[in-house]
Amino acid sequence: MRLLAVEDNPDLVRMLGRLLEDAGFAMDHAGTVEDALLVLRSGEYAAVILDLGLPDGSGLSILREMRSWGDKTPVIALTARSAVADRVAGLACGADDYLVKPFAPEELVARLQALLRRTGTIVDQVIECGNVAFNPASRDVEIAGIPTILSARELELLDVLIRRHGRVVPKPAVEAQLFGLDDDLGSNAVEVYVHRLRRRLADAGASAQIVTVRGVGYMLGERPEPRPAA
Amino acid sequence: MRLRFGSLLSRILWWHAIAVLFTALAVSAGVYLFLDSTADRFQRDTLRIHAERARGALQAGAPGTTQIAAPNTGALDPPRTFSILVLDTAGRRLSGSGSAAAIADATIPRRSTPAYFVRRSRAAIFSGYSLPSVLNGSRVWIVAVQNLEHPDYIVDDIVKQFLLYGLAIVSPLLLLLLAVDAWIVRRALRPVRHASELVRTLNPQRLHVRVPEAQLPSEVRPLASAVNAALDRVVESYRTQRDFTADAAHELRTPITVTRMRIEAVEDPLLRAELKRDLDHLGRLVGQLLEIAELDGTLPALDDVVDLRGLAQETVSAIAPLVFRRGQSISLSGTEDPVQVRGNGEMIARAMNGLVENAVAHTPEGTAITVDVGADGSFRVCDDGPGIREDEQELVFRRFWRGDRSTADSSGLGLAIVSRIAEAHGAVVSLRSGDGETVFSIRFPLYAPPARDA
Repeated sequence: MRLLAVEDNPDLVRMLGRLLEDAGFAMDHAGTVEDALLVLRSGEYAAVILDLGLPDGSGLSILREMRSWGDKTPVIALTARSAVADRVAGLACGADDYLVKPFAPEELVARLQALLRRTGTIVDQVIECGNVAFNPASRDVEIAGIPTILSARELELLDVLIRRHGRVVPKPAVEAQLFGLDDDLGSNAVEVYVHRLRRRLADAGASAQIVTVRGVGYMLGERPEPRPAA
Repeated sequence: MRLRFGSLLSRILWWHAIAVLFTALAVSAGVYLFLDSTADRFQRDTLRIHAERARGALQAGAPGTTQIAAPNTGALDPPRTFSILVLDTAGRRLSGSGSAAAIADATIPRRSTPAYFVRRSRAAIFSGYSLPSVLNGSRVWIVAVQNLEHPDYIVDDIVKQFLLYGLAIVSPLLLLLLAVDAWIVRRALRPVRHASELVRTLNPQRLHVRVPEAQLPSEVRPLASAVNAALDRVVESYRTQRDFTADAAHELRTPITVTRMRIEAVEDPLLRAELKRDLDHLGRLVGQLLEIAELDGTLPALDDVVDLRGLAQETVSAIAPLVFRRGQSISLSGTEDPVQVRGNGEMIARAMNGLVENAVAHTPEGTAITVDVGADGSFRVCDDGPGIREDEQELVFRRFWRGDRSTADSSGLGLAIVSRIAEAHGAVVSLRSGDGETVFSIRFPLYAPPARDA
C-alpha cells in the first residue's frame, strides 16, 4: 500500500519512511506544494500525510486543490501548531484526521490504520487490542488465542469499540451501532451490553478492558501496566 | 504667579472673560468720551449762537450811548440756564440777565478774539463764551454764560447714567457669553471624549480599533492620527511576534518529532522508555512555552460563542486514554445541555485541558477525576487525590512553580497558562483543597443571545 508524505523536513521524511515501512506501507514524498500537486495528479495513493507548514505555502491549499478535483484520498494533517483554529480549518478543507507535532510514531500508524479501515482500504485485517483480536470481515473473535463466541449485540459493541480502541467512543455512536436509529431503547440499554461484554472479556482472560468515561462514552483499552516507580 | 489651566475650557473662559471686560470698558470709555465731547461742542455752539444773537440785538439797539439798559429783546432773553452779560474794557458789567450773578466779572476773559471759558464757584459751574464787539465806538464783550449745575442742564447726567446702565447690561451679557463659551467648547470636544472612551477600551485583544479622525476637530486630529499610527506599529510588532512564535513552533516541534522517531530504534527497552518520557516532557514544555508566549503576545478574539459542555466532552475524550493508562479514572458530570459562553474556543479548550492535565499529573494511581460543567458557565475539575497544602495554594499558578521539584512530568507552566486564559476572559481560577477533595474552577461569562423581536 503506497502513501504520500508531504513534508519538507528531510530528517522527518526519512524517519517517516522507516516507520511506515515497518508498518507495512510504502512511501513517496514531496517537499513542496508544487511537487505534491504534481505527484498527486499522477499517482494513486492510499492515504496522504500532509504537513500544513510547507516552504512554498500551506498544506491546506493542497488539500483544497485535491478535493476540488474530486480526489477523496484520506488525508492526515500534521501541524506544528496546536491551534484549534488550524484544526478546524484543516477539517473544513477536507482533512480526515489531524496530528500535532510532536506526536508518538505509533499514534500516527494507529491513526493511519484506523483511517484506512474507515475508508474501506483495509478490510481483511484483524484488529487487535491487547490479546483481543477481531476480524471485521468474518466477525471472528479470539481472546488470548482462543476463539470466543459472542452474541450479536456483544459483537456489534466490540466492533465499534475495537475499531477505535484506545480512544473514547461517544455514547451516541455506540447506541447507533448497537440499536440502529429506529429502535426504541431503554435508558440503560447500552450499560447492560457493556456490562455483559466486560464480563465476557474478563472471564476469557482478556488483557483489554472496557472503561466507562461517565458522561462521555466508552473506551476499549489495554489494562494499564503497574506504573514504574519514577 | 503663573496661572495654570487644567482644561481648555477654563483657559478659554478666563481669557474670554478678560477680553470681554476689556472690550466693555474700552467701548464704554470710548462712548463716554464721544458723548462728552459732542455735548461739549453742542454747548459751545449754543453759547456762541446766544452771544452772536445778543451782539446783533445790541448793535441794532441804541447807538451813541455808552450806558445801555438791559435790552428787552428775544435775543437777550435766552433760556433759563443761560445768561448774557455785556462787559466794558474795565470789566464792568454794562448789562446782565439770568442767573450769572455769582460769577466774578473780573475773571471773564476779555480778549480781541472770541474765547470760551469755564469758571467754578462754590455753588455752580459756569461755562461761557466771550465775544468782543464794538458798541457806540467803544469796545465791549458780549458774554454768554451757562450754569451747568442748573437742573435743566442734563447732558452730563445722561452720560453718567449711560455708564451705569452699560455696566448693568454688560455684566449679564458677559455671563451669558461665558455660558455659551462653555457650551461650545463642550460640544466641540464631544468627539474627543468619544475618542478617549474608544481608546480606553483598547487591549491586546482589541487593537483593531482606530480613532475616527474625520469626526474630530482639526486641532486634535494630528494627535488622533499619531495615536492611530502608534497603534498600527503596535499591531505590526504584535504580528511580528506572533509570526515568530508560529515559526518557532514549527522549527522546534519538527526536530522533536524526528528525535521521537529515532528513539524507536533504541534497542534497550528501559533506555527507550526513559528517552521517550524525557522527550515527551520536552515536547510538552516547548508547547507550553509557545502557548505562554502566544498568550503574552496578542490574544485572538474573545467573542466567539462557545459550547462549554461540548468542549468539556472533547477534552475528556482526548485525555481519557492517558488517564486510564495511568490507572486513574475520569468522568464528565453536570448539565447535559449545551452551555453557551462568550470567549475564545481554542483558549477555553486549552484551559480545560490544562486543569485536567494538572489533576492527572499530580495525583496518584486510583484517583477519580471528575470534570463538571455548570449551566452557569462554570467549569470544574475535581479529584480525590491528596490535595494541595494551604500554603502552596497561592503558589500553584506561578510560572515554573512546582510543588515537588523532582516531578519530571510537570513543567510548572500548565496552571500559569490556565490562569492567564481565565484572566483574559475576565474570570479567575479558584482553588479549594481539603476534606479529600481538590477542586479547580473557572466561571466563564455566559453568552446572552440578543433579544429578538417576534
